[in-house]
Amino acid sequence: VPDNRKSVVRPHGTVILTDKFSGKETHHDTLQCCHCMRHWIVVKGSGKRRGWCFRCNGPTCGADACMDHIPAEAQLEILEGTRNPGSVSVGMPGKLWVPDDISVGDKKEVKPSEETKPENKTSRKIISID
Amino acid sequence: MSGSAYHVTHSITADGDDKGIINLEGSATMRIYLYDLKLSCSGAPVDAQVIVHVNRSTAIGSGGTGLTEQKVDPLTVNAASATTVGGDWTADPTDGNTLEDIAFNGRVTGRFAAIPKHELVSAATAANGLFIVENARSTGSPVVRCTVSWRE
Repeated sequence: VPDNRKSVVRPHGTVILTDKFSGKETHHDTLQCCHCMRHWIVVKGSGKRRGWCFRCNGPTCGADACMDHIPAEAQLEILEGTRNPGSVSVGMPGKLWVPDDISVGDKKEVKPSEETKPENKTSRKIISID
Repeated sequence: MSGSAYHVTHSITADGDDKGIINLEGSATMRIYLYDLKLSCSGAPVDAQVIVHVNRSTAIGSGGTGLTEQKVDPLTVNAASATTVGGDWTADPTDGNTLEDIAFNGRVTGRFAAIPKHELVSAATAANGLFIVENARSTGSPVVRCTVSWRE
């Protein structure tokens, strides 16, 4: 089994590349953005900045558009015309956790408050996006 | 897995970039859930990198031909898929956002499989669907073969 087969605990998909001649298989786990539904291969140490949506309780791909909390189902309904885009709540108290040195739009750091304490036990930084 | 599942295979000669392989066109009442994608290069082995994208499509292409899907489960009640499957266009379908991209060498077989509830999903809108496209190749004209499985 290749080393990178289990790069995440609960992968959302798998990419398997098989060499036709040697028969060697390479497995890559993927995660899916809980907002835009894009899959990406998880590469440890790649330097790519992703995020985590506490309201969806899932990973985000790191794209600027996905820094607002618009769940995948809501995005599909907007595409289908069955949901008014204005009725989607993208604001706080939904918070996104991103690595410390990420630069995403106009962000500002907020002091950990009572409501953010459960997610702010270690070195995580909570940002709010206006 | 709920719904009826189907699969289809199609090949193209990747003699240019952004060349469509397969388009799955849904309808206003049905979403498409793509859960498995297999890619390879048929013909003589070729050392070329091929990048394939799975995009949402927002308009069907023109001048294409219909492809015949096969049901995955022989007991599927609906023998024919409600998805319109096409390929070989003169003008490719219109791309939406990219849901998955896979790069592989021509000597390698690639497969993407999504676990249930994490499939690639298209919007239930007329003429919308999922579009598998050869985004780029490094050299030559590899014959890219694609098998896609979906449920609806």
